[in-house]
Amino acid sequence: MLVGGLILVLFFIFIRSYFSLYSIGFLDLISLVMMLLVLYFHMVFIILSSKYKTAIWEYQLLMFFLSRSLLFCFFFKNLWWFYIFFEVSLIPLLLVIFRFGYQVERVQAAFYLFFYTIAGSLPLLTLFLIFSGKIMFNFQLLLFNRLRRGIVGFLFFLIFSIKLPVYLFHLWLPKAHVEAPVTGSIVLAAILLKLGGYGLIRIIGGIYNMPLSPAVSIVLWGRALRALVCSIQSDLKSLVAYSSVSHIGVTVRGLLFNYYVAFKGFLVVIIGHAFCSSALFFLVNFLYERGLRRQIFVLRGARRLFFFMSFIFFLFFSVNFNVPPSFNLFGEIFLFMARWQFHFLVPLVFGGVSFFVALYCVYAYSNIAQGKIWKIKNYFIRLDLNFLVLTYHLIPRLCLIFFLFLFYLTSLYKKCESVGFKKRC
Amino acid sequence: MGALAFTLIFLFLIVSFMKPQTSYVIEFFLLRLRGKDIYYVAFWDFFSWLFISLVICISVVVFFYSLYYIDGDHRRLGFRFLLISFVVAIIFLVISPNLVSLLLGWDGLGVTSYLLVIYYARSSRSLAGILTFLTNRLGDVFFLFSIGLISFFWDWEVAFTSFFWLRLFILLAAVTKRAQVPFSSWLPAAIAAPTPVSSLVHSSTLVTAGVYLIIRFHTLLRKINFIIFLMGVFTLLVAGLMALFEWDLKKLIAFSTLSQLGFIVAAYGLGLVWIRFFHLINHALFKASLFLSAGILIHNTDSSQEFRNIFFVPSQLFWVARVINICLLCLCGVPFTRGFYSKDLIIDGGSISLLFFVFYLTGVLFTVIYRFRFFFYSFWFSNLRRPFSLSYEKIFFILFPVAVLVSIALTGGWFFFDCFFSFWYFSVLSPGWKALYFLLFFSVVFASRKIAVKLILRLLKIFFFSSLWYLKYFFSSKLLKNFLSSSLMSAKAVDQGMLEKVGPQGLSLLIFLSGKGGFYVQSFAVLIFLAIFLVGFLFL
Repeated sequence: MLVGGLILVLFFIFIRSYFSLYSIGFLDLISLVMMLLVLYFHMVFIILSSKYKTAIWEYQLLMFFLSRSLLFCFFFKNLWWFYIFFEVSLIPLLLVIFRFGYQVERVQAAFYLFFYTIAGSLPLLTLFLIFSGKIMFNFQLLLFNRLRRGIVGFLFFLIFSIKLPVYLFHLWLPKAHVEAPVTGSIVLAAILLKLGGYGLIRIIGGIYNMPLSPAVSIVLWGRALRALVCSIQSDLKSLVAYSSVSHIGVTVRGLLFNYYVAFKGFLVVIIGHAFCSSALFFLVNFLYERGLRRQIFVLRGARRLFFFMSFIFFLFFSVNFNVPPSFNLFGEIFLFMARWQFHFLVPLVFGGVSFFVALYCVYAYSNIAQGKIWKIKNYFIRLDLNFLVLTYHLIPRLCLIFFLFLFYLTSLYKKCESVGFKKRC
Repeated sequence: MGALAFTLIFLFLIVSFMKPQTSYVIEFFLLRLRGKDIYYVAFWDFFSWLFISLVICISVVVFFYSLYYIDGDHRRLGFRFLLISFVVAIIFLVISPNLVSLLLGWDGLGVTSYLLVIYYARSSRSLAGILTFLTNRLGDVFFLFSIGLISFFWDWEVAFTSFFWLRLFILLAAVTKRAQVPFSSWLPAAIAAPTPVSSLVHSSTLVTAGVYLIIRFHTLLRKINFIIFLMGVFTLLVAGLMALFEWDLKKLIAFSTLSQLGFIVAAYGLGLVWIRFFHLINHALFKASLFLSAGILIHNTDSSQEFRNIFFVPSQLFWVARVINICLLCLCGVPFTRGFYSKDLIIDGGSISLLFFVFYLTGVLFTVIYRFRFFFYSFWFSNLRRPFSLSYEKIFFILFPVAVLVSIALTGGWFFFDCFFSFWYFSVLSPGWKALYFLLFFSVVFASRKIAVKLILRLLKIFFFSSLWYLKYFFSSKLLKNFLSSSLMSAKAVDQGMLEKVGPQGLSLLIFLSGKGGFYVQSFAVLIFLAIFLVGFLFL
């Protein structure tokens, strides 16, 4: 797998150096990072396959199709191919939820997922068809088109904001997260949420001249409301789902502010979020497997039962609210820089939100960790598997901070200029 | 012991060889943003060297102490790890002048202190932990604000840039960390931590981090010194009053820390930066040893923290009582103990105005009163019934490092005084005024057992004072309750209300209703046709 990834990287570098504009494949830092994320998490899915002993081939096949469709979605430079794989990735996900989810409500969740996505992507298709004569369907050439500005740009924003759930269109996500099996949650949190952001970057680039203020205010108050909603969730998985959505909401903001620094923050947050929230989902599943319930008021005293595991739980919660030696903190700092430049009042709201994010994280952790011990219902679960998967998440959490200088080495800023971000800072 | 001796030698070497004027800057390249290189900066000067050596000295003592205190707990390895990371965080904070690298230590302190406060897994502890953490988090948010602001200048070092909002945010961040008046409710709550931890927190790490921060940025904050002074004085008075009514041993020491910090910060507000740094160090030394020896007392009383429950057995706890007594004397600044040198200087410096002078003297009076309250209730009026298990056998072993700290606290005053103020010193007050201080001290000693004082205290003992002037309620339960209820409301109104009604649920209902309507139209079509026909016929 790793070797395959390396070969892929080399292949991309080859493509980039020889057919930079006219190739079907696409390489800049964003797509490369996303593709590596997909490959990395496919490894995690393969490890997790031993949880589904009865249907292991079915599972492997589904995960293979899911990750490949996502990989190609990030790979292609052509808008049509992007659209096709964007849609195709929905089918294996639905099947995963239907086949491996464990509650009756999964039907409703899958319906929500399907119809919300369709409601976003069919208008996208019609937009493509309308403009099919007027734009070239190459991402790089698309950036120079005037049509992405103005109201069309806003429409594109709305469409992608369903996939990357911006506040008003987010209802499908907590439901899908709660009903999906652990792998489904991980793939949703780690990769699928980024599709929307990726599309936004690709099609709109920096959103010039679009009516910014409604979008910004939706994102702004949306995150605040989500932090509020998150703090009263009684279902642990739903809480983590909401916090994941709220965390990814940061990225949209970064794009909307349309500064170079904010773009960089977007990338950092996307990478950090992939490891942090998927690990949280995995840990919630860890508790669920043992207690067979997800209620936050029942799963208590985890610190006495699983001391080390609860410490790791806290580690990932702390990434969620950006504690310093974490990768996300730099994203947060970059975004704060952009916010002050955008408007004076914006960071004040966001500061409040980041306080509330810490509040619900600590509230949830202290509910889980402290208090009376619950009765373990299920003893016969392999522990080594958990540690393996958690190591896969922990190593990036601890080491990514050291790769911050990669932003310097990969000369990202040249790419960003070519994508067309303003050079204001 | 070896490590302890090493740190002591280190401390003395640094103090004797480091000149206050020299400083070293070490930079590590982090990343480049838009042609601007960003560095991790470590800044070594007299302040930071002295403070680090102090922190290491105290933390070594605390570490030895915790070998005894947390003995037999199966999570002691984790505890040691947390303690070490706590100390590392404060060291990172101390050496960095750069806001981002400062945030590393700042946030790290908040998180590790949270984990240490909830070390004992009880629900009351977890609430205290949440309160501690959230107040610190507020400071972090202010810090993030100031980082964002300072990035206007494309530079994260504070030395060359200043404007009002930046000043305000840095001040607010410092205030939350050092538990000044609007945000002081977490400090009494944070004593839920094990005693070695609270000794570190109160002496040299968490609380003093906020004080250290404003020392570091004292050129920046010079213009709002008056606000700082007012906050300090207010904290001094509030905490002094609170300490008069407290029955919890550790909470009383916490309030004494609060009042001492108020004292220090008010001195800062007057511009006495050096003097207050001197007092900060003195205070750290004797407060750490006070907490540690009080911990022995608590450990000995079957973990009860009430004065009224303390079993004081003179033969067993003889040296502990002596140590506590010395620390308390230092705390209220009895002449020629260590606390005296700095406190005397601060009062001397504060005597430029009568108002300041009165405030200070009131604060000092409170200090002396609660010191004697502590002493009377724990040793003189102490419970004479004997506990089942008498004092633990390792007391002498554990008291030894504490005694080293105490001996520094007792005798080091003159040495450090010479070290700090060899280049300038003059006294404002005349010797007659200085004698007032003695008078104050001994009058309180005699008066404290008299009925009049007790009567006044009883009159003052109402709910208002015992709840930290309602700050506890505003900043913990009320705030959380309001927050949770409002979030419940918004969840019901927006997430499960409006968005569902307008979105999927409403849509499905619409489809269902229209389908039903279509069905009715279909099934009653004949009737409708008939009706239309009849109506048409009538019109004809």
